[in-house]
Amino acid sequence: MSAGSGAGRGIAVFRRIAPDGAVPPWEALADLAPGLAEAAEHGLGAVLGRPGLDLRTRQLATICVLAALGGAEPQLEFHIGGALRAGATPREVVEALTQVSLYAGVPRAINAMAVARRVLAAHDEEEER
Amino acid sequence: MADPAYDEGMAVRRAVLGDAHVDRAIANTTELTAPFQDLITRYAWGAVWGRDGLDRRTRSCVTLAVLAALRCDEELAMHVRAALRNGLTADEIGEVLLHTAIYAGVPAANSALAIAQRVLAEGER
Repeated sequence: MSAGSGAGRGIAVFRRIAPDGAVPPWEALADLAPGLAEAAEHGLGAVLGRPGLDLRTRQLATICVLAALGGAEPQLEFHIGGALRAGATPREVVEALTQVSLYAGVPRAINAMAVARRVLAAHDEEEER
Repeated sequence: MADPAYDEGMAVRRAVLGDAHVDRAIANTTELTAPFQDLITRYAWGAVWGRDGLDRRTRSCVTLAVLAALRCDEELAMHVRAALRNGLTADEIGEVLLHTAIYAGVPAANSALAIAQRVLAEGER
């Protein structure tokens, strides 16, 4: 397929940011929406897998975009976990989402922080085990 | 009168945006915009940009991504210049905006890259 080197890298990037045993979105979508599945896999591989910007910074950018746009809370939850797995600290996650308040308004940042609170609490429990 | 909160915000604002930009903004301040100028100096530059816990390069990256996603064209141009001052390379700015295409859609990234291209070309002149 024309996706080139990107699609093959999608799974490698997914494994770096997803919890153990998570099903990639393209597998979950393949029966209903194979085109969207391919787009998701290509996006992850061809863009996130590129050199030139480290995965931690990419994940922090991703959660800020999702927070700013709103309406993507399931994805925000996934990618906050991804940011931690990519090496961001809980403090950095909170600081990045605080930065969103300046550009997207305080309400979006408050909504994002509610999601972050859940993910960071689960992360703390995982750390303690 | 000493006003440390304002002074701290102004110091960060000047460090990130450059004296020329800030002097221009101050010179253009009117009675209408003075409260806003005061707010962004204290709130945006002091209370948020001035915080520890996230380096300024990363703050620039997430700011570029959000401004691109929200289609804030004028602010984006200003923050492309700010990102260069914060140590990002032109290639890294391009990567952030390309990355945004996946989460905020291709048109947002397309517009943002056109703006970045224009701003970066200005810098080369």
